Amino acid sequence: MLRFRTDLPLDRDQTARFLPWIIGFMVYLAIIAATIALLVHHATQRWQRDLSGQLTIELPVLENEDADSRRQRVDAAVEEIADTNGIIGTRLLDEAEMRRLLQPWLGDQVDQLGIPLPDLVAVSLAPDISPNLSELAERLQAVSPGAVIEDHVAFNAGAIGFLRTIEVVAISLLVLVLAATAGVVAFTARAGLSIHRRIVEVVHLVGAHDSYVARQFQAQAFRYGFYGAFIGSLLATATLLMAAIFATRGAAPMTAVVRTFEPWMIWPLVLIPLAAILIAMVTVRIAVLTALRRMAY
Amino acid sequence: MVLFDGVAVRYGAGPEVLRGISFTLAPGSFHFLVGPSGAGKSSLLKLIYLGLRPAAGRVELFGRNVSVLKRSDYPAMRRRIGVVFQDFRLIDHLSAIDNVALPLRIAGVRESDIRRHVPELLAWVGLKHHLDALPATLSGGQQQRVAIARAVISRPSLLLADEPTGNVDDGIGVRLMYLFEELNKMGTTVVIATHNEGLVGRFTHRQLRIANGTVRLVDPAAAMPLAQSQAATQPQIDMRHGTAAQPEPAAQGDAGARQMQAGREYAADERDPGEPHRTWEEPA
Repeated sequence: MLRFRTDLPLDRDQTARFLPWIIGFMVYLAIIAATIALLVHHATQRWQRDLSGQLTIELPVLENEDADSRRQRVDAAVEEIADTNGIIGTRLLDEAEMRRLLQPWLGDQVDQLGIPLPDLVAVSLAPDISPNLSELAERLQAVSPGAVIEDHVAFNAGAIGFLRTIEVVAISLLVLVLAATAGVVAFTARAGLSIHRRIVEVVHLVGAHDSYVARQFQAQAFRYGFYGAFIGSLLATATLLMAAIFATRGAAPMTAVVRTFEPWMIWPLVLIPLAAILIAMVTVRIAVLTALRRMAY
Repeated sequence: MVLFDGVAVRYGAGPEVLRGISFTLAPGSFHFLVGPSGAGKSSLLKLIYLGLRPAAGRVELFGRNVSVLKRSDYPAMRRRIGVVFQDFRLIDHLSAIDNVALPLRIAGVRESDIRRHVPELLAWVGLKHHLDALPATLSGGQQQRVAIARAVISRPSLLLADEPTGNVDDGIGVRLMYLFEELNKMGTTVVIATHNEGLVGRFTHRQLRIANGTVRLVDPAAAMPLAQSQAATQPQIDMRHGTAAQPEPAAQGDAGARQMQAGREYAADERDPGEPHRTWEEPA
């Protein structure tokens, strides 16, 4: 498969023999890194979009309080919140919604844990007016002691900073892996050129341009790149599928990130193998032409 | 065709192995390059086939000063030169037919033309039954003929042969010389480097004699009575029947002669520097 006629016996080189596996490993790493970067980036953007312009107010359950008193206290607190300048909407979360929010963190059996769940009020903020939150907090303490205003900005800053770090690390890994692939391919090409120097001289002396010699190395790079890309993408697909299965059953933050997956995010599986083949061919061409220019023949 | 003017050769920082070399090779001429081993014959040939740059002086090839050539100009020049290397320099993993086809493939000749002409030439040099043989399975003489076929397949204007008879017995050596004379008669300029004085003495071609790093031109024909001169240059073996160790039928020899005739005409066309060397067509 993919055999080309060649004047240089490049396939016999020991140095090149492992190239498809090395490229395969690099493609595998690059796809994983790119997918992580993409997933994290997408999740971060989505969280930022969902949480911006919002805050949550938690109204803890008071001891020995009956249901009617609780309802009156919560209604009074919601009224206080709604009367605040800069707040354009309030919504008291119902039980089902609370359970859904807590499920990733506490599991499906939230009811059986016996934890007293507070009332949560989702607050929408006006885009151009900042509410006086400390004044609101004071007023809330009067109607619903222990009320806590959770400003998402503070939470966002930490969580998103962490996600951004993961994204940067993944992108750096992707760049490093692709650079390493280019380096390995260039080294192999130079080694091949050195091994077959005598044949290259003959080919030159019977009238070959440098590009004729480079094309033979490029053909090999294409073939090995293709094999490597195939191996790498196959392994990466298997890994990502397994990761998706385990992540949905695993820890909450991972599940939350994986749930942001969308079908278009498989582009690393398509583009990175193609990029690896292209990088191998271009690198080989540059490496061989540069080395040939230094040769006397 | 070739002009050397005060040329010197030096390897690295070492002494000059050749110095003050001046001569001219006219188109269609035949010269021996004679001198003992290590005298600098191969170095001089290298200068001609652009394998070495002169340390001093001027080398002109096909009317162009090689010292001002760009690297990208070399292939076009080299395609007009056929070289038979002393150690043959056949490519080990390629068959005889692929070795000979190499210059054509590099020049972009169509595969159908290669498949038609290369076997014909190999048959002409007596290797009809060794087309797919790897060099390692061929004898020294057979490898030599593959190397010669490779050198002439693209119908060069200039043929350089470095000790072409060094690895064969005298009989085959003389036959090879007649082969070169045939090529020369078809218009190819020929330079044969050899240290075999006995072989050189059988012919009346001009001699470039290298000694002590300098070159001296000797013309034996000028010092010989006309009748003797003609007798000395008369081929004693019919090339169409006796080129190879394994004689080929006359019909194949004729085909080979046609091949070389085509070569001569192509070579004549080649002298037009504007024409690309990428087609192979039989003369009308």
